[in-house]
Amino acid sequence: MSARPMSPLRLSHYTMTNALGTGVDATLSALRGRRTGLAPCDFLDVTLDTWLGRVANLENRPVIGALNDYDCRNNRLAQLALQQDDFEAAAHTAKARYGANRVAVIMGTSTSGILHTELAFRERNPETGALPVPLHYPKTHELSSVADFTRRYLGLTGPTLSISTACSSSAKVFASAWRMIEAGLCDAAVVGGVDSLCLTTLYGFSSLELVAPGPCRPADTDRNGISIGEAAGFALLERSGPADDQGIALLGYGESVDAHHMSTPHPEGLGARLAMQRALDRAGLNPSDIDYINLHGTASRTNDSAEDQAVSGLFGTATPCSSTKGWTGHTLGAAGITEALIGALCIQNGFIPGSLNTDTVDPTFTSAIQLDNWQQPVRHVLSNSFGFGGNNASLILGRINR
Amino acid sequence: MNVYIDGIGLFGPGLHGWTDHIDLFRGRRAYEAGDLPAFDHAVLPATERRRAGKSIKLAVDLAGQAIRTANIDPTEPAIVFASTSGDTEVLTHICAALATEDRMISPMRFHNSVHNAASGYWTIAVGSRQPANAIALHELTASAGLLEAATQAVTEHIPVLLAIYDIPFPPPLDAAEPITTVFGTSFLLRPERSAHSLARLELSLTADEAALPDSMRDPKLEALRCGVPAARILPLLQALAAETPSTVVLDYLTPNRLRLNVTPFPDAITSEALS
Repeated sequence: MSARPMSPLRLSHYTMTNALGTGVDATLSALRGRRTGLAPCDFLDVTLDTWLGRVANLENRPVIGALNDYDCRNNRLAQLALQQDDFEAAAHTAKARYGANRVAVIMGTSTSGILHTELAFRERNPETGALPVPLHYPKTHELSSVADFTRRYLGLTGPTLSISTACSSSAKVFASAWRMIEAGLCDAAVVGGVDSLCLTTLYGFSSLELVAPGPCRPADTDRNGISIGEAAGFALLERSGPADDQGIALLGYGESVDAHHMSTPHPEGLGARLAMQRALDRAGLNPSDIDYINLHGTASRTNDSAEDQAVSGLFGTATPCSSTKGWTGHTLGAAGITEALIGALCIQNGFIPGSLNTDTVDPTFTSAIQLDNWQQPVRHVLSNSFGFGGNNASLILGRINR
Repeated sequence: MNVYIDGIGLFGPGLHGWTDHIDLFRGRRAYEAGDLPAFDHAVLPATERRRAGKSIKLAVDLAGQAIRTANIDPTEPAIVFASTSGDTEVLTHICAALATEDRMISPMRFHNSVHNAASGYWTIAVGSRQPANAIALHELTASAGLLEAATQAVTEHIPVLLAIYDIPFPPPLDAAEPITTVFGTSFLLRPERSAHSLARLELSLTADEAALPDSMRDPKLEALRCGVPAARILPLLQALAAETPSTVVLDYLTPNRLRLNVTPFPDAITSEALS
């Protein structure tokens, strides 16, 4: 399948919250100052030898009021993110312009609010095995709970969807949003990704021996696994604006699967390459048009080497690339939108972040892994997100008027 | 938004395969639930077959049915798998294990717990590298899956394999989230009519309060529809079995509903039933 060129989709407003802080300025300033958000694990009573990208103070920010049944770590993180950067005001402006029923809500998450259920299992009735009542499973843990929370929080009633394809989830929300707008089901979309710390991913990745004991070191010759993080990101997507619009837009997206293995990428990154090629086709761009690639770059041995082969196979050995997971950790289902929005910051501020915590690039790598931050004009960014099940998504962002 | 249905799959208590049950959906016999059929997941390679849990087997069975009845190369369509909570048995097992002292969970269970595990297994089995989506929208998952799949078919000009399926939660989560039984259906959607097209489907969202969601004429099928989120799709199967065009309304997020104008191609159904 050769993807057909697409009309750009404007990122009219966006916000993100992660271990670097709340709002885009916190992320921008940490990227520029090369300050990591990773710290030794201090989450609940977890004793794993690892570092985390934890969002501060979620424990003290419950969801209260009319939506209090939605209270869980995942929806707390969504709520905190929605309160930054005037995002609510932007959503309300879109609602006023198009009507609440013409603005879609499309969210990506990997584990939703599973922590809420994990903790409830500690409170089982010792005689009957019953869980505490009420559990509010549909509003906390079911995979669309954060999508439902977001639409209610923002008062939107347009088409709603939750995408859960592991670590590509919140990259794929952009593709579904484009399709819904293209099909005329809505005029604008709030897309987002929210994934929060939980025992399932901490002990699950640990069981696969994919968790690093120290901060993750993407593309490093001594890389030894991921650092798990949590994050939320939201963007308001609309059809392109006026002719002199200087805003950022989604120019292309590409989706694929590896058809190889459930938890290991194709060794040569064939599926990853296909996703990147499809994104280029949709954007109508050549590989040489891409100024910076934000890698999936988890710092697992196999992901980074497969991605390196896919990237240098398609882009050659000169296109600057880096992973920003040394700052945020691997935010799993929120990684797609978090890193796409970092790409938007690179375009708006004219810089490329060098891979943090990476000392010596794996000598077998052939792509141009950047270690230091660079100031340079950035026109087009490609951002990769790959997940379990071999599920791949690549996004291309750039200025609307190129 | 118009799409064409080229293949249909069906799985549930006493239900396996579309053509054998068209008469049921035409009201010519009453539904008797009966036992769950054995899953047909032979397409999975040996390792994956051994590792697959119930929801993966269900999804793979359904995907195979739609592909076969549509007579399409399985590497051609994009994939949309829709289920409210995916593998409820794996989720329950993991949550229980994490409440124990050692918190050990098996790597296999962990990778089977992702919502796109089923599409991962299916694409490994058939060697497809097409886009694969895994979605959920609680009780409206069936409508959301149909909408996402049809939107993808129309805007990307690509056939789409849609599977909608749920399995029940075991105790103790069944009390918090009751799903009464195993049920699933699948469709192969095309943006244009082919020689194998069984029906045309015109989809639209409507906020018309007079457009009430359809129910099933057979009371036991109606109980199935109400008991499993995936079975909310049943009124569409009832319309597809009919020999004349009809309109089906499925529930969607308030104030919207999903309106489906269904035009069966009876000749196609007959020839497929005979094949």
